[in-house]
Amino acid sequence: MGEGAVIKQQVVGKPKAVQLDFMPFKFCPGCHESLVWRALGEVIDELDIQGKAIACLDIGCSGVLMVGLAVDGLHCLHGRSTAVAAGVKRVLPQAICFNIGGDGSLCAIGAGHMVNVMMRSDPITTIFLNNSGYGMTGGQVAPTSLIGLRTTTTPEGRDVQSTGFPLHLSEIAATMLGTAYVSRVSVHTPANYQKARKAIKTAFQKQMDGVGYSLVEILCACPPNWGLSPLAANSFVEEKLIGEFPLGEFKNVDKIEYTVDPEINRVGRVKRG
Amino acid sequence: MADRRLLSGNEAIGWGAILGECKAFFGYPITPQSEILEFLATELPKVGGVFLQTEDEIAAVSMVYGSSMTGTRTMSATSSPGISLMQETVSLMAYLKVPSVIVDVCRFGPGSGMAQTSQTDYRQVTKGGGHGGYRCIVLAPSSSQECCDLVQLALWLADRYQMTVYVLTDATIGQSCELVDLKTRDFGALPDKDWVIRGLDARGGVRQGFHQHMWDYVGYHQDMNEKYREIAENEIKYEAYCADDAEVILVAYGYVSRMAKGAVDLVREEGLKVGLLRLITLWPFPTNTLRELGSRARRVLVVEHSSGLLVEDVECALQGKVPVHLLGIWGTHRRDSSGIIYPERIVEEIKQMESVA
Amino acid sequence: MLTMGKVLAQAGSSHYRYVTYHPNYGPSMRGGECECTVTLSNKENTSIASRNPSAAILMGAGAWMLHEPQVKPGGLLLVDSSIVAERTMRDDVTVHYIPATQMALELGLAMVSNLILLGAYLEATKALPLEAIEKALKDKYTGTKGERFLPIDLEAIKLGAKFITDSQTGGRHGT
Repeated sequence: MGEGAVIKQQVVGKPKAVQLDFMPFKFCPGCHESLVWRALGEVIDELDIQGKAIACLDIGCSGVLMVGLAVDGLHCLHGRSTAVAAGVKRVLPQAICFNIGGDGSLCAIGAGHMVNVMMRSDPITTIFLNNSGYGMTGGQVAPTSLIGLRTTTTPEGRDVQSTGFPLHLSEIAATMLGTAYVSRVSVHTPANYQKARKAIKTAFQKQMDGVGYSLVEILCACPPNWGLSPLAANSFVEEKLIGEFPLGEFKNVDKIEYTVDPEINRVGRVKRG
Repeated sequence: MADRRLLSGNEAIGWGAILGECKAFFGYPITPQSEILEFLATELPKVGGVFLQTEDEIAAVSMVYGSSMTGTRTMSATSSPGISLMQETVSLMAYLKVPSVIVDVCRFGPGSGMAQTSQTDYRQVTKGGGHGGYRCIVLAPSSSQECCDLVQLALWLADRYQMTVYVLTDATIGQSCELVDLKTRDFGALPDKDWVIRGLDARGGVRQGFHQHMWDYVGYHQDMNEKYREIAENEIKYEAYCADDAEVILVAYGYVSRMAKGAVDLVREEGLKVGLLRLITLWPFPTNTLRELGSRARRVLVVEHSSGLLVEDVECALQGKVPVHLLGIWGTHRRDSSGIIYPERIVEEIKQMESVA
Repeated sequence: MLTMGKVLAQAGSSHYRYVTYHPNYGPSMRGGECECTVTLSNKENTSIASRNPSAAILMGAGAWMLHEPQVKPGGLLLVDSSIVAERTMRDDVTVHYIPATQMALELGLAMVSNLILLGAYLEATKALPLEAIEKALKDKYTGTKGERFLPIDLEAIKLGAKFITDSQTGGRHGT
C-alpha cells in the first residue's frame, strides 16, 4: 500500500451480530462451527433482527455460540433449548426465537421436544449441528453416528445390533404437517457455505412470516473426535457424512394448509355454552 | 358484596393465579392436579394470558423458565412424579435466579404411586429438590381460601426473591370444596425486573450475561445464603391454634393440619390442653416458634400423611428437649391409598400417648 | 354419590357460613368405590372431614361396613335398601331403609337414586329447604346435556322427602 492511500471501502470484517470480545473462546482446528457462527451473524445482520433475536443455547459445543453471538440469549439445559425457545416465543411473539443444538441435544435427550414443537408448529427456528457424535463430552456415539464409526462408547465401531441406525431428523421433520421449512446443508466448501447461509435466512424468514416451525440441519466436521486432520475431516463430510445424510431442501411451504371438520368439532367431553 | 364461591382447592389455585396476575401457564395432565390445568385452559386466555399443555413436565418447566426470563409472571402445576421430572430445570432457575411458581398437588408415592392424597413430597420440596444445594420457598395451604391467597403470595415472593416458590397441597385439599372469598391480595412493591431477556432492543443494546456466576461460584453460594437468611427472617408463616396454654403441641400442615385442628377442638371439649402449630411456610421453617412452644409443652405430636419426613425438622428444632411423637401414615383409616387421617384417630393417639406418660 | 355431595354443598353455600365438601375416591375417572363428606355449619369447619359424621347416606355394601358403625350416637343412617341387605344392630341411631334404586327405576332413571336419598336426608334433618337443592340442580344443569333430566331429578328429591313424611305418619315403609 503506497503512501497516502485511503481506505475507500472495507471489504473484509465481521458481521455486527458476531462478537469477539464477550468472553475468550476457541474452536478445535478444523471445526465447522465457526462457519455456522459467521453464517448466523451474517443472516441476523441481513434481516436486521439483532435487536429482537433471542438465542436459546443448548449444552455441548453448540452452546459455545452463546458467547459469540451479539444477541440476547438464554442458557438452557441439555436437550431443553427447543422447549425453552417455544416458551419464550409463546409469551413474546414479536421476538425471533431460535435454538442451537447438536445431535445429542436434539436427537437423543431432547428428541421428544423436537417432535412436539414440530407437531405444535411453534414458529421458532432450530439450528441443528450434526457432527455424527458427542463433541464436548468427548466423542461418544450419538443417534446420528455413522454405522461403523469408532466412538469412545462404540470402540469397535457403531454396531447396529446394539446401537441401531443413524437418525434422520430432517426427513422426520419433513413428514410433519407443522413444519414450514426443513433443509439439510453443509459448510465444507464455499459453495455449500453460501447454501447454508441461504437456508438459515429462509428459515428465519418463515418464522418472521409466521408460517410455522423451521429446521436447518448443518453437517459439521469434528476432527478431534473423528481422529482425523482438519483436511481429512472436511473430506469425510463430503465422502461419508453426505452419503448417509443427503443434502437438500426437504420442505418449503408458505402456508400450512389444514381443515377443521365441524362434525368433529361438535364431539367431545366439553359441551359448548 | 365480596365474590364468594364454593371452590375446590385446585379451582382456588387457578383463581389465585388469575388474581395474582399470572400471565403464562405451562403444564401437563396428572391426577390429582388436572383441574388446575383445565381451569386455566379456559380462564387464562380470557385475561390475555398464555396457556399451553406441553408434552411432559420437563417441557412445561423449561417453558416456565423461558417465559419467566422475559419478565412474564409464569407458573406450572403438577403432582409428585411431575415434580421429580422438573427438578433439573428448577435447579437451573435457582442458579440463574429466575422467579417461578410450581404447584405440587401431592399424590401417593414413591414411584408412580396412586393418585390419592399423601404428604410424601415434604423432604423433596423443602430441601430444594434437585442438584446443586439450593432452596425454594414452600407454602402449604390447608383450605380452598388459602389456596387462592397463597398462590398470589407465591407469585409475589417469586418476584421478590427471584426464586422458585412451591405451593404444596395434596389430593384432599385439591379436591375438597369450600367457600372462598375471591380477593386480590396486595403484598407491596416489587423490585424492577432489570434482568429480563426480551431482545437487545428492549434494553438499549446491552447484552445479558448468561452465566451470571461463572467466575465466582463461591460468591453465588454466599449471596444465596444471605438471601436465604433474609427470607428466614421475614417470610415465616404459621398459625398457632390454642397453643398458649398447651401441654401437648401438635405439628402438621396441609389437609392433616385441618384434621389436627378438628382433633384439638374435640380434646379441648374434654378439657385436655392440646394446641396446634399449623405450618404455612414449610421452608422457611418456624424453628424459633416451635422451640418456644415446645419449651412450655410436655410433648409434641407430629401428624403427617407419610412415613415421617416433617418429624425430622421438628426434632431438629426441638434439639431433644421435648419428647417428639409421630402419627404417620399408619394413622389413616384404610390401608390402601384412599385412607386419610381423621381427627378422631389423632384424638386416640393423643389419649394413648398421654396415658402411657 | 359425589354429585349428590357437591349439589348439597352448593345448595348449602347460600344457607351456611362454612361449607366443606370432601370427596374420596379411586384413581380412575369412572367406577370404583367412592365416598364424600359434606359439612354445613355456621361455626368454622376446623376439620375437613370427620370419621364420626352425624348422618350417613350409604349406597353400597362396602360403605355399610365402613361407615355404619361410625355414625355418631343420636345420628341418622339412610340406606339404599335395594342394594344393601344389612340391618343395623345399633339402637342409638335413627335408620331409614329406603329402596331408592327400585324407586328410581320406577321413575324411569336408575341414576336418580342418589337424589331420592338426598330428598330423604333433607326431610329428616331439615338441614336445607328442598327449594335450595332444586335451585342448585337448576344452576348446575340448565344449558347442559343434563337439562333434560331436570324434571325427573326434581321429582326424585320430592319422592325421597315424601318417603320420610309417609314413614313418620305411619306410611308403608316404616323405619
